[in-house]
Amino acid sequence: MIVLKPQITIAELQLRIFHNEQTAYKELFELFYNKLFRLAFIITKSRELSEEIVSDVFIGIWRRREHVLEINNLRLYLYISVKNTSLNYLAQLTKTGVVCLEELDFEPLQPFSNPEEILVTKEMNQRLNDAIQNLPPRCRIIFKLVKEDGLSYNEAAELLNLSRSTIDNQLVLAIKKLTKALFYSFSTSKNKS
Amino acid sequence: MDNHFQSPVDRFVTLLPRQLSGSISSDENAELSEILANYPDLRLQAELFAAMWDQEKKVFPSVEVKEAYMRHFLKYKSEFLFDGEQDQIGGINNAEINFTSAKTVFLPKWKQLMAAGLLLTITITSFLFFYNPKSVSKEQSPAISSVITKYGNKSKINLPDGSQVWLNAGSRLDYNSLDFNKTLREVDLSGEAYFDIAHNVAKPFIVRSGKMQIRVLGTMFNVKAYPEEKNIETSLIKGSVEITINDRPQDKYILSPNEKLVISNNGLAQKSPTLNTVNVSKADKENTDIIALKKVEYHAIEKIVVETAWVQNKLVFKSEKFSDLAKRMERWYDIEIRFRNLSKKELKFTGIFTSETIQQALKAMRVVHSFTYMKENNIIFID
Repeated sequence: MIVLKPQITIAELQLRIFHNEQTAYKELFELFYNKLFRLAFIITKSRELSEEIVSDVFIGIWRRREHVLEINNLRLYLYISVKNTSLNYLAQLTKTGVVCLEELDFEPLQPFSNPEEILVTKEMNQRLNDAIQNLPPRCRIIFKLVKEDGLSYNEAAELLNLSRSTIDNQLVLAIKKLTKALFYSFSTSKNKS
Repeated sequence: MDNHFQSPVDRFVTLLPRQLSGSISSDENAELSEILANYPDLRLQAELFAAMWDQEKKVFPSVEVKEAYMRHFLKYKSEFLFDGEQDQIGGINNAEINFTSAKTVFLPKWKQLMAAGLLLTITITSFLFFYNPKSVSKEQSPAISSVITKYGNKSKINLPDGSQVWLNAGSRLDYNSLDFNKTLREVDLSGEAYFDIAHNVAKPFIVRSGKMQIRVLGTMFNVKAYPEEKNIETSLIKGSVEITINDRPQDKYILSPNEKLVISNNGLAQKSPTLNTVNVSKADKENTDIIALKKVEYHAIEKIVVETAWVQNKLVFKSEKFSDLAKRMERWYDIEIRFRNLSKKELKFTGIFTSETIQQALKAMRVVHSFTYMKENNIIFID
């Protein structure tokens, strides 16, 4: 059985939205709702606001559907739009101005939803989960965006306004910490080679 | 800034997440493969992270997402058409009900198979990445990696450069694991595959298939080139591809998104009557090949691109001759179909199969055209 890679759908959906197809728009909405809601929620910490933000961003796509094919990377476009809209909302609410996305706190999702399927023990999964929770905030959000959302290094860098090498360094840190959590009994001896 | 001073283990930690997120260069990918070859104890770690990367993440169950869409729809309803209006425009509403109900039936089975699928994907991937492919191939150079799908099966291949290939039933993909990604990225295909190619201008990706060659830089496209079928089709979804035919390298066919190039397959090319109906392009007046540039077919009711529907596990056909459809059904269901009444070969069918069994599929087809069938072991006789 094959799991469809989202990008295939995105390119096709974009074409269909351009052709005024409401069902394609609905599919796009449903495909990204989870991820975009979560990004908005990380920033705003409000369910109502997050839903409104995602809704705002999507209706913008529909209203300008005759230009939808001009968007090169629709996924990144959606993420950036949700980020910017969320930060704007937050700035209006708090009147504090600049909010830094990579300093925001949030709870990562379970590393393996069905660990038994891939022969990961419960304890390993738990250790991994704790390790992800304990990553430094900047490292955690980068890990989240690249792993959970499937963003590339360049996409994550663009979204967070960071350099690619920062993404690189933070992910090295994440992999090291998680490896330690996974194989803590013997990884320490191996790291010093 | 990162390299020579780092130990292989440190390099591994740097390269692994780059590879998992598709942000790796081809040289780095080769380096990573080499590290894994030299340090077998890192493989488990690599596989676990790969499995973790593959996990599907959901905050809300799909029901809540659908409700969220309803709220969104109602909030901006003046900008949308109502279902009723849609219905008047072209029966879209009806079709959509069918579509969603079909989907609901289909989901649990999909889920069930997901577990097996995940394991399979990991196995194939790690197999290609981490092991010397000696054991895969026979009677050919030890560097050739082959992925072969049987009838009734499909598989997804992650190539070392980050490109992904979905291989349809009864197909085969070969590549030289030593040369791949050195200066070029070359693969050989027999059968049908959907390609999602990692962008790399420096190393063009080349698909060799029968008598033609497709050259791409980074794009998404479908190639259907079963030796037993009379046409070879290349359908482009995104990006651009350049196709050359082996016996006349001077002609290059460049496709734009939404276009498909159909070339008759010389190997078996009988002058079939259906081929006369296609538009023959200017480039090949005097040639034996029959080449046609068409639009990618779009199934308006199912809202799906016909050529790539198989990737989503749908067998879609649009006024297709029974003889052609039978070949696809043979691969799809892993059965054999024999026509005892040859006139039935010319019947034409339009439709879509998702989770139907072969019996259900044939039953549905009998509603449209009259024919009878008999199943003996794995052979279906059409009368």
